[in-house]
Amino acid sequence: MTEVLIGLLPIIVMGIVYLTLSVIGVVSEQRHEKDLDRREAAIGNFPLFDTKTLPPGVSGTAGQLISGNVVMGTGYLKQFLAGFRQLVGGEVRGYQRVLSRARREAQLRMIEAAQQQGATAIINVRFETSDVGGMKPFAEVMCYGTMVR
Amino acid sequence: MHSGSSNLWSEVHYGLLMLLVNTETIPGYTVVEAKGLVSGNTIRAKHLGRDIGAGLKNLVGGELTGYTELLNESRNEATQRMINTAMSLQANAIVNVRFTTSAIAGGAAELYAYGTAVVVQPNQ
Repeated sequence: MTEVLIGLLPIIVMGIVYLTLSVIGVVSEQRHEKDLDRREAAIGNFPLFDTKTLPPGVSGTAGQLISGNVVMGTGYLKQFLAGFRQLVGGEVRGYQRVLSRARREAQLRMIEAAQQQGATAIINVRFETSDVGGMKPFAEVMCYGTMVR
Repeated sequence: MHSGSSNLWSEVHYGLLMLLVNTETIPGYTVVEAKGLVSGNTIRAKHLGRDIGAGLKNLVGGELTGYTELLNESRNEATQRMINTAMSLQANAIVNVRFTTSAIAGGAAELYAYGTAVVVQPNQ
């Protein structure tokens, strides 16, 4: 009995480690979402357009390129659950949440950088998502546009 | 300021040497001459230490700050190369700037920036 327990010990230890890290991951995801909510509320309604020219009624001159980016990893828990999801198909909600956070974060960084330089609006906003992790599920989201003031 | 929001090209070049926009025209300016397509690229391999660090961070998930910085620096490098080409053509602005990122081979990424070099004049 004791020998079996000792044999299983590495598996049990690894299980506890993964479980702890997964819990930290879930908590940090919620904290990040709260942080995003807070920063988005602080910025308020910053005018963003994905049109190439300023819409009527919005004024601005002196365009300049501005961007924000972020690389996000999904974490092993989501990777593990996504593996099961792929057996039956359907929406992978864990990944969807990670990419939503990444896109909001990139957009916020772009707006924050633009505000620091006195911008009043950003036009022609584009998002670019790329896989940078090779075999690992790391995604980079970059958001860029032309700021005017 | 967050690591992902620094903009080397706008800090260094704003209003001084080169105007960069991703629109076809620049509000407040008129394009007087088109110099043609300019581009810059760079291929970066991930640092082994950063790769291991990112792997550990990914046990939990969330932002991989090392990679955010690496890609930001690399994109600035590609942009700087594009700016250098435009400067050699005596352009003072690049319009319609686009970025692409592609993972080539395992552990290396290409950052590519391109746009149209033009000469602009402020509107009177």
